[in-house]
Amino acid sequence: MLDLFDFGKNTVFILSCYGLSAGVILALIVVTLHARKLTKQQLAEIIANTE
Amino acid sequence: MLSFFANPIRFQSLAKWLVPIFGITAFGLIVSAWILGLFVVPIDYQQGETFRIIYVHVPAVTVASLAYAFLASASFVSFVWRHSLADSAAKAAAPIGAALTFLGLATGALWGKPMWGAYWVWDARLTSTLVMFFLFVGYMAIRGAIRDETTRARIAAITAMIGALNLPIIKFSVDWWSSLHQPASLLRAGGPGIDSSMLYPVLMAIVGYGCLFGWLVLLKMLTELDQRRSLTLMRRAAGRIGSSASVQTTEDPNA
Repeated sequence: MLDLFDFGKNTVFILSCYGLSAGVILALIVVTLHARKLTKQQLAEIIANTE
Repeated sequence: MLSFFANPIRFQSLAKWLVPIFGITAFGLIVSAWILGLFVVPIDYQQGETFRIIYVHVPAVTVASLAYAFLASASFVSFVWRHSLADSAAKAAAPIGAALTFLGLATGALWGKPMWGAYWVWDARLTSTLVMFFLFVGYMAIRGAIRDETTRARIAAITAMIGALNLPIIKFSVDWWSSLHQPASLLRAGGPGIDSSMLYPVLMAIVGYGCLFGWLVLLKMLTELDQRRSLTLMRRAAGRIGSSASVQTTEDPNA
């Protein structure tokens, strides 16, 4: 393991916490932005079809 | 103030202005706090390096509790004044709050193992936080189970408001009962109990997580407003097709 990420005997616990937090936050962001993009596309299509 | 922003068009124009501010602030503060927490802040004299978990655990749990307070307040506004935007805000806050509570519980467990020798103990602070997680999940389950929009909003709002009783229990559990969890070290009489070199990155992370919560809630609310608009346009178009079909039927000379 890189010295930079070596926090001694509890390295696994520390990096697991940061990794899990980054993963969950990233998943929240991706899901939210994906839903936003789909909804915008759907609205644009509906507006184009109804006008 | 509330009635001013209850107008979806006014809300949209404000939200579109706030979204990039929240997004950029959240990203900047969280990344900076994590870098400071992992590589710059000195080690704790008792916990050693494991102390660094504070920069992911405390902001997650703090903002999860604030998210529940937001959910309960929005539910109150939705219940009393029947603002659909308030209901939309509560709906948007629930999954983000649940995810942050999950993060708080998981990082707490990963911190507990090296410090207490156990991932989980039925301690008052841990148990009341687990109850908050179930309240978020229950709120989403109720919303998913009821079809009628008005009934769904009202029952979900009542559940959220009753669940708010758990918030003071979470906060004061470490004072009211003998607890394995450490007492409050940030919000306590006499000021924060940790050194400023360790304190500022925690505060940065809390504000960063708060901005992340605000950013995601606003994005979800804007998405729901667009979905409602799509639905309205589709219904209107379907109504127009229906009425023109009925005109054609009545004008048919062979009828």
